[in-house]
Amino acid sequence: MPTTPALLVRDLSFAHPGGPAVTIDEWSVPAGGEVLLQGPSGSGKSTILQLLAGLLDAKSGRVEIDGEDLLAVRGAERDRRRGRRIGMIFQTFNLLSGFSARENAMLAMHFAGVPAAAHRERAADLLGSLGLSGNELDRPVDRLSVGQQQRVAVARALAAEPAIVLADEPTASLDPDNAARTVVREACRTRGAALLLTSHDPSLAERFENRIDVSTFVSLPSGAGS
Amino acid sequence: MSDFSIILRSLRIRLFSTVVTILTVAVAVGLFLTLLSMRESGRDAFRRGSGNIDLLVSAEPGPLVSVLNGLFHAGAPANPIPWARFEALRASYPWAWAIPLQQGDNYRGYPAIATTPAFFEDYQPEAGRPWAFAAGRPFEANFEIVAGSEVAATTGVAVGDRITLTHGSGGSREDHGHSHDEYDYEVVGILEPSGSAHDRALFSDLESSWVLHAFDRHEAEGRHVHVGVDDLEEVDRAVTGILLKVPSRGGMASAALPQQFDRLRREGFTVAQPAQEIGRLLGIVANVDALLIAMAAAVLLASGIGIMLALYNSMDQRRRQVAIMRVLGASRGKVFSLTLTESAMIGVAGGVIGTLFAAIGNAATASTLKERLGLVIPWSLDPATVLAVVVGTTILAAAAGVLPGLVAYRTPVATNLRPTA
Repeated sequence: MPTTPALLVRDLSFAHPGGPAVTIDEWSVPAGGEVLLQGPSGSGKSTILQLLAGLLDAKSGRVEIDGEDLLAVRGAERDRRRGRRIGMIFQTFNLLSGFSARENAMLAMHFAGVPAAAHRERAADLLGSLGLSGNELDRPVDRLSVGQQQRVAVARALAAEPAIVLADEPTASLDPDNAARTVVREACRTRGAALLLTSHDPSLAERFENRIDVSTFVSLPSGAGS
Repeated sequence: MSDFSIILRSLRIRLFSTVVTILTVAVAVGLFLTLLSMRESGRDAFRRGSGNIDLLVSAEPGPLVSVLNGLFHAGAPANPIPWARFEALRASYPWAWAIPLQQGDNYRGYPAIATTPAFFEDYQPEAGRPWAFAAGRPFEANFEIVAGSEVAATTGVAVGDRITLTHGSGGSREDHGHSHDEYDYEVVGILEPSGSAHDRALFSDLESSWVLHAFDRHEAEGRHVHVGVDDLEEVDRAVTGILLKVPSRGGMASAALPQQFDRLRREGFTVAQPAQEIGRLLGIVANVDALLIAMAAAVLLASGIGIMLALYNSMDQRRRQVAIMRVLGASRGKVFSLTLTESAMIGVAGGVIGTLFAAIGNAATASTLKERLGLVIPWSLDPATVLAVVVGTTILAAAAGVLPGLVAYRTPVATNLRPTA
C-alpha cells in the first residue's frame, strides 16, 4: 500500500508583480524523505517555501501536506494546519528573543494544539536529544551560542511532530563545514519527518540523493537573480 | 505554555516599558478612586454631622445657613432666640427631646457651644453612635468645659487645665475677638473623634455662657461688676439653636414631624430638616464634584492612551515576533487577541496596584488627619465601586490594545522574518 507523501504539490501557480513567478505542475517529497532545492541567492527558493507553508497565497493549485491540502483552507484553519504539519527552520533562526530555549520549543507545541501538560517534558526531551540540557534549557535564546541557537531552531521545527520540515538555507553563512545541516538531517531522520532543504551551495548536491534546481519551478523577471 | 504565559513573557521582555505603563495606569486609578472616596467621605461626614436630630430650629435667615452654622459651626448664628420662647416651644409638643444651643465664643479659634447635659445624653453626632470620652466626663457644673478631639489634639488642652474663652464665632484662628479673662473654665472631658464638625468644638453649660455675655453687657453699660449666675436677667438668657427629636415608633419618625415642621415655621422660626438641607448642599456642590470626577476620568483615559502608545511604539519590534508566531501556527486572530489581552493585563495590574495606592494613601492620610486634626476620613468606597473601576480600567486598557492588535493582525509574515536567503 503506497504511503501518503509528506508533500505533494499539483498545478501550483504564483506570480508577484516584479517578483518571481512559480509554476509547479507536480512535485512530491516522500514521507520521511529528503530533498535538496538548489539555486543561487535571490532565485526564489524562499518564495517557494513560503508558498508551501501557506504564508503566500497561490493563484491556483494544491499543496498537500501529509494528505491535507493546505491551500484549500484559509485563515486560522490554514495557520493551524501549518503549525501541526510543517516545521520551519530559517537561515538566521528567527527564534523569539527573550524567550528561553524551552519556551521557543513549547510555543510551537502551543500553537500546534499539543496539550499543555506535555509541553515542558517534550521540549526538554527534544532539546536534550539535540545536546542542550540543564540551565541551557531555561536560558534566554539571546544568551546561547550560535550553535545552540541553531539546535533550538531545529527543536522548535520538530516540536509539533510535523510531517515535513522546510529548512531555508540553515546556517549557511555561519557553518562552513555543514555541521548544522547534519544536525537538521539527523534530527528529521530520527523523528521520521521529511526534509526539504534549500541551499545556494552547489557542493551540497552530492550529499543529497534527491535534488531539484529551483529554476525548474521559478522564472525570474528580467534582471533579477544572480 | 499558554497564552497567559506568552503574554507574561512578552511583558517581561519589555519590563521597563511595562512597569512604567502599569504605574501610569495605577496612578490614574489611584487618583480616580481617591477622589471618589473623598467625595463619599465628604458626604458621609455631612451625614454624620447631622446626627440623630429631626429638626434644627433657629432664627437664622434660612435653613441651609442654620444647618451650616448650627451643626457644622461654619459661623456663629447671629440671631438669638429668647429663653422664654425656647421654653414655650419645648412645652408645645411632647418632644422626645429638645436641646438648646448657644454659640458666640471660641477657644483659640474653635467654637464653644453652650448647651445642656442632654447634649451628651440624647444627641448623637452619628445616629446610633453615642458620644465617647477619651478622658474625663461631661460637664456637670458651671464653668466646666469639654473639648472635642481635634481641639485637644491641636491645642494640647487636657483634663484639669483651665482655659478662658474669647468672644466671637471662632471662624478665624487669627481674629479671636476680645477675651473673657475674668472667667475661666476647667476642662473636665476630652471627646473621642466622632468624625463630625463637633470634633472641632468645645461644649459647656448655658448659664456660664450667659454670664460671660452678661458681664460684657454690664461693661458696655459702664458697670464694672462681677456677674454671677444669680445676676442673670431675662435679656441675657438666649439660645441660637434648638435640636429637636420627635418621638418615634419602632425607629420610624412620627407622622407628626411634617406637622410640627409647618407649625414651627408658621410661628416664625427657621426650621431645617438637616438631611434635606445637606442634600441641597451636596446638590449645589455636585457640579464641582462632577468636574473633579471628570478630570480624574480624563487622567484615566490619558493612561489608556499611554498603554496604546506603549504597545504601538513596540510594534516595530513585535512585528518579527508576530511573524514568527504566525509561522508556528498562530492565526491572525490569535496574535490580535494576544495583543489585546496583553493590553488588558496592563489594565488589570494598573487597576489593582492603583487600588492599593488609593487604599495605602487613604490610610496614611486618614491616620495623619485623625492623629493631628481628629478628623475621621475613612475609606468609604464599597467593593462593588472599586471592582467597577478596576473592570472599567481593564476594558479601557483592552480598548487601547485594539489599534496595536490590528497592527499585529495585519502584519505580513514573509516580509517581517529576518532575511532568509
